[in-house]
Amino acid sequence: MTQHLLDALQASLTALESGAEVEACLAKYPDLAPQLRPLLEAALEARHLGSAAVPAEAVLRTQQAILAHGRMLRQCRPPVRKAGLQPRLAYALLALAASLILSGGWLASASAAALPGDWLYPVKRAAEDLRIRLAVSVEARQRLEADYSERRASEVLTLLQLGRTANVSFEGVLTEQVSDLWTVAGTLVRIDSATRLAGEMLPGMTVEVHGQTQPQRFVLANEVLLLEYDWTGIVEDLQSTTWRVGGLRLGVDRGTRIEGEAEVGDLVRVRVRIGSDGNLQARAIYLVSTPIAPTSTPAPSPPTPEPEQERMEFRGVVTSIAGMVWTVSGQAFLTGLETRFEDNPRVGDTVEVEAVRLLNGDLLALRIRVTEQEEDERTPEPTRTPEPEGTEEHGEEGEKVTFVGEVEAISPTIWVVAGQQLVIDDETEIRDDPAVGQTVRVEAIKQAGGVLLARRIELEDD
Amino acid sequence: MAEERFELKGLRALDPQAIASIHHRYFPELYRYARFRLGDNSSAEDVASEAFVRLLEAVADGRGPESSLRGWLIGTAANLINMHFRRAYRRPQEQLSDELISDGPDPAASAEGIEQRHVLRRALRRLTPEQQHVLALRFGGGYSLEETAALMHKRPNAIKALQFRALAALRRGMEHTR
Repeated sequence: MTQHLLDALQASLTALESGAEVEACLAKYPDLAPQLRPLLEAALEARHLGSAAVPAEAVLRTQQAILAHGRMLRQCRPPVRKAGLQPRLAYALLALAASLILSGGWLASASAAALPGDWLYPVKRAAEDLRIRLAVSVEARQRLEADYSERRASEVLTLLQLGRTANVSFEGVLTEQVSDLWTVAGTLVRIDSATRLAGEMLPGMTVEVHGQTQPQRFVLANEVLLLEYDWTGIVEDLQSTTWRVGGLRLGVDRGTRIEGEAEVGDLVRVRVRIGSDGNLQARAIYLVSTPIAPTSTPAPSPPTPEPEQERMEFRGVVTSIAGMVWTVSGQAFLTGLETRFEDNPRVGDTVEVEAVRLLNGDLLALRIRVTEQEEDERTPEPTRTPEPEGTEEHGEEGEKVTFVGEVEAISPTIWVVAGQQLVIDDETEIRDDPAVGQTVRVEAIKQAGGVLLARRIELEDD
Repeated sequence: MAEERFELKGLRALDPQAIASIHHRYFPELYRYARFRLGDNSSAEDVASEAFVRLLEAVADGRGPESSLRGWLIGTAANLINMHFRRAYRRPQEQLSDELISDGPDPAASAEGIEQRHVLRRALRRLTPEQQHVLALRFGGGYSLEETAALMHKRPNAIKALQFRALAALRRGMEHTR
């Protein structure tokens, strides 16, 4: 085993990865061909083993589980407080002021457990607003806002568990979008034609939901607003209170966490929060890289793929949209901030996809565009899936629906069977551990708003 | 590196957006690495998922990666897989891996493909853990020579020699198994 042989093997493996044939590789090293051939053939076999695609449902399933685990760990973690005297003193004074203003401690403590719709709830919110307004430091204000934001999401979950209807507003990370059912901060949010959507929202972004809790354990959204997202761009201007990054003017204050000594021309990643007045505030700015030779290159929009990556084009029918994963004629594409959607593509549409292959092998869609459809490939009305074929009975809690179909997607709270979304809750009985692709018999209850609440799912006998 | 430091900051705060971003970035790599070594979809998903759970628990406990998130996750996945094999060695049971179950519509080609992968899989199991590791990183995870060297804390030239020995052993194992 000589260095020449090692280098020849490495060069040949690199060539194989780029699509070269074994014979072409061996032709470059005729003296080493007898030793290299078996190794390259073994490498080709090994590459074949590693070529399997990552199932989109596995990505979604584990993402849900990991986020839930992180949430649980965060709730168990004791709050981190700075040991300095000043913040503690400030909190003590705030607590005292709040108690005095609220005419006695009993009112404050009585209101602490109040939920939206309770008569004491406005008292609870007023006390919280007061504490935020009285916060001395930006850090303390942001910490309080974060605490209260989590409290809002927790109140919604409690209302849903109790089956109560109330107007609610809460914010959280959007973790899943399955057609018109979204998951925000662990809560199922239903989007209908009357819902106002402000901003392009994708999983991973923070959104604010305004709506009503429903007895069917979801929130019917009146309005969903984009609140926070990540943005990567070149620093174009840098002042004490404003930065311009990748074409965005961003407010910067003492509460902005800045990592690294960024200068004009550097590439930075920014956590952007949209204020109620529409202004953009930088919550955090991280230096990503400094240019090797500063140029006047226009700012890239968020995470731009490497310029040397080859763009590929696909054409096909959108068969499913599960959060950030789109399936077009059997090919999965990741979407993100960098994806441009043209003509509002939806399931059933024929589209053209412009994509690049990422280093991990995934295809990242840069553009998804609805194309003119040929007469023979025109699809039926795609906006709503057909009603399941099966039997219906009218019971006290809603229509009972039974149907048989193929499992198309599985997530902790939503299954898709024969194109129908099924809400899964603690009372859903799932037998035989069905998997995607298998045929199952579903018993569900059709609730107000058309939501199908699954009561039993089991494998259908042949 | 700055990107990784940014992710680590968010991770230590158990920030949901940071967790989602880390999962999005690293889950496919971990899954492919695990699937290469285990040959089974559900086991690969379990291993990749468990590596993330351990990462969250480590950072919540004030431990976890200091610099290389990818290195920490791959190292944890490799340990989990080694434990998996040790358990399987103590309680052997033959399982059909996913790649041995079906292989397209043509029965003859399908049978040939299944047999070929069966031979390959058995030969792979005969390699040392380090040889399996390097092949899984190079051909499963799709990492470059330099990335593999960084993940294994070795110099690129040492990886060249290791992948040479691993491929030679794999080839010998395949001939022996046939």
